[in-house]
Amino acid sequence: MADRRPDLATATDQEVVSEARAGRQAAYRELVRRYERPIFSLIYRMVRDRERAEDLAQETFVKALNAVESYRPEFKFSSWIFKIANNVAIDHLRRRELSTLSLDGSPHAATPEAIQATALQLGDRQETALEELEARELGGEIERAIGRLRPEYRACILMRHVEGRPYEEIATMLDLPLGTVKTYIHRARNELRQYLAHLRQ
Amino acid sequence: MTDRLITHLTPEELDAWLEGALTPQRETHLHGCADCRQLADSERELVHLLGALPLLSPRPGFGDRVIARLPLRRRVRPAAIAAGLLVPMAASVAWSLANQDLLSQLIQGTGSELGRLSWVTIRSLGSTLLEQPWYPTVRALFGSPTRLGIVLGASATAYAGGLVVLRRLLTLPTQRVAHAQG
Repeated sequence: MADRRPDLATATDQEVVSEARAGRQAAYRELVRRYERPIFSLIYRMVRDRERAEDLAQETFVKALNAVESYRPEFKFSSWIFKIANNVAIDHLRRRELSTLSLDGSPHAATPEAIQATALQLGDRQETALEELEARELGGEIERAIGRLRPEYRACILMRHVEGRPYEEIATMLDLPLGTVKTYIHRARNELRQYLAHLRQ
Repeated sequence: MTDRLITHLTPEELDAWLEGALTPQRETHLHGCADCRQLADSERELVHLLGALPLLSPRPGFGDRVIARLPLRRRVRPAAIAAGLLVPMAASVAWSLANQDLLSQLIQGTGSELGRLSWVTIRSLGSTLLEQPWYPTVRALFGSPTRLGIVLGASATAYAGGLVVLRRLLTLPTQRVAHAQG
């Protein structure tokens, strides 16, 4: 008998979600595989703590996958899960103010082993050791500058210029008026330009 | 001065320029205005830097940890349900047909034994009840239709009140879940 189930690796998000709704565990894994890095990146840049970001990313997926029955297919799955991730991160930030950023490990790590264990694993854009170092330093400056923004600005700027989402989608995801989203993003860019002015010089 | 301010690029126009959608008129202004050009260049540089930020990876095994926190939901296949029902039923029918004598003996023996046990149990319960010290009091309580009505009415009222209280205690507070609507 021919297997009518779609190949998850090539299926659209909507097809994978349908399979997940039908109870296919591999579909859950596929959704996690597709979104673990974007979601973790967004949350890490929002909360600036690796351990916390992992916990919150897990919480995001657990919430999303447990509520997959209530997901409405007329919306993009990516928008839906990013919205959940943003809510989780903002809720966390409201509960707890974090002030410092470390690319080299969690500021909450108490021992050298814990710092090493919590060090970030960057993506796959490094070419040579020098380029990696430069990219790391520049990336660190930008990450620090993003970390200085207000959480609302941070969420908007990350969605717009790191995730490449259109303004309208960001407004829907964050439950904000379109004009507010545009204002936040322009203000965030102005602030970032100021924070990073020394790099231009 | 006012004219000059008005003609500078607005944030919306800077966005349009970043997306290559600035009108030719405003392009002309941009080329002729050092302030706007500097701002536009720094905007483009910033947007490029942000877009080049790498994706970060959680620790290996992240997916396993997420899946481990999910309740297992298995797809229930109609064929599996049918097979699960039909196979035991067919086996049962086949065994019954092959052992009809034994089955009728079992049914008769079990039926009579069950009847005898039920009767003994009822009699035993009845006599135990009659021997209780509180039995005469309770019996007197139900001795007249008026008393019976009062007791039943009070019991029904207490039961209904208890249900209302329980319902209030067990009702969860209503709270909007922001992410539930996509």
